[in-house]
Amino acid sequence: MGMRMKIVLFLVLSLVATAVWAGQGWRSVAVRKGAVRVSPMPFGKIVATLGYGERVDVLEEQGLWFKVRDQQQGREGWMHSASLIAKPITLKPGERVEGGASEDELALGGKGFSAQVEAEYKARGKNLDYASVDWMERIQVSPEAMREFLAKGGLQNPEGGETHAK
Amino acid sequence: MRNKRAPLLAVLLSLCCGVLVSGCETTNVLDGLGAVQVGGFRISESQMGAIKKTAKAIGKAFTDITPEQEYYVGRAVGATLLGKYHPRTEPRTVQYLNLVGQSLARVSDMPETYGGYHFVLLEDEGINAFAAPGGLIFVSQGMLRCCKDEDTLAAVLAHEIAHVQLKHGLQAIKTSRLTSAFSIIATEGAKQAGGPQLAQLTGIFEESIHDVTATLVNSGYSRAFEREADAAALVILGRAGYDQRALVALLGEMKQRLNPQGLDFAKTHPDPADRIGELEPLLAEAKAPAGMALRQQRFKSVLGSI
Repeated sequence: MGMRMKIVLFLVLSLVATAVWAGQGWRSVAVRKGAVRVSPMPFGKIVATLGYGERVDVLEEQGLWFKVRDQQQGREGWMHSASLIAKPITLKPGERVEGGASEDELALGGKGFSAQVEAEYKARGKNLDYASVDWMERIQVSPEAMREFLAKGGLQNPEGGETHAK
Repeated sequence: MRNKRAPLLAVLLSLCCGVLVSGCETTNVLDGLGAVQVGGFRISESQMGAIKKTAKAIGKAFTDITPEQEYYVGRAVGATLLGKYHPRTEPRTVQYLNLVGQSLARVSDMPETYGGYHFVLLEDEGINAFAAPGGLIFVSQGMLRCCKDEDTLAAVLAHEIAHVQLKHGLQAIKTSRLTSAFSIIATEGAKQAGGPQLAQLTGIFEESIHDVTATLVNSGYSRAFEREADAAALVILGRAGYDQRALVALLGEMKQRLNPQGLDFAKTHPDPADRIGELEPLLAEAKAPAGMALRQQRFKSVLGSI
């Protein structure tokens, strides 16, 4: 086999490996509250909320949406790809979710810029208003208030897709 | 010997090229490989491990920041901004602003972030709007005065959501800082972070937050980033059912009100007239949606007195 062939072969194998990785059948929830919706729609009814690091099996893809089944309780629904990551997330002891990733897998949880780093930064920092950030993060909009707001303003249909304003 | 080394070099070269071109994609490829046999020359698992680590260190960039880390960057940027400006906390104002914001964020290409989207109005008369990575969004009273109705306010928020979606804030962090951070994370000791490594990481974190806030408050994003955010904002407005032309109306109003020597938006953003010129071709088919009067009414009722 000539060298050129070997390089080509290697590159082909690389592509296959990428495809295998990307096409794996599961994802980890990469957000604190991962909404599982009844339909692949922005305002679709939420049937379950999954926590950071929980794993889901991918059943189907539709654009930026994945139809998933959570590995722990088998609940099914649609999640937006922005809330999922194709890597295992290992949480720190005590935070570990059942059936979580094994030690030799790439650990993402709590690494790098973490709560620990934030505490250290806060201790060093001046003129930082974390109390207001915490207040800001507590601001919630209920699904009912959202639905009413959209309907009264002639905006998106609560289930997504169609608009009232036609 | 020479012949045996050649394929190995080719492999290493192709790995390096791949890493430089596609960053995390290639490290993903490497993650899938164990020991490799190349033309009679075997790269052992441990050698492969070393290559993987090097490739990772070089390939790591803002795209490898996890949503959780992005969240902590965003919180620190938010804490810095809120250390400078007071937020308006009247429940009616807060709720309304967040309803408008959520109706847009949910239809964006990044509807969910680690900590979610949250919006506040700042007691600041300068014309400003900021988006911290991860979805904390800030609008000044001065900016609100440029908004004549809910659709224009939506245009402000959609532009900021676009910056979050496109991860522009994270891209303000110098790559060298991220490379250092990822090297620390990659070392075994970081598993039990503490001591010198925690101090080192915090130092890098501090500098990264400075990169982002200095960009948001002083230097502004590049013209290209603003153009990208404007284009994405149009898509978000359209999907939500808001008037896409409201972004042009907003820029027109800002043009009137901005003091060219000001330290606010005038300093950090391209001339609104130029941005309007770039948006016009994208708006050829934009139609005014229904319901604008209804929305203007509630906008006036909640925010009219501010």
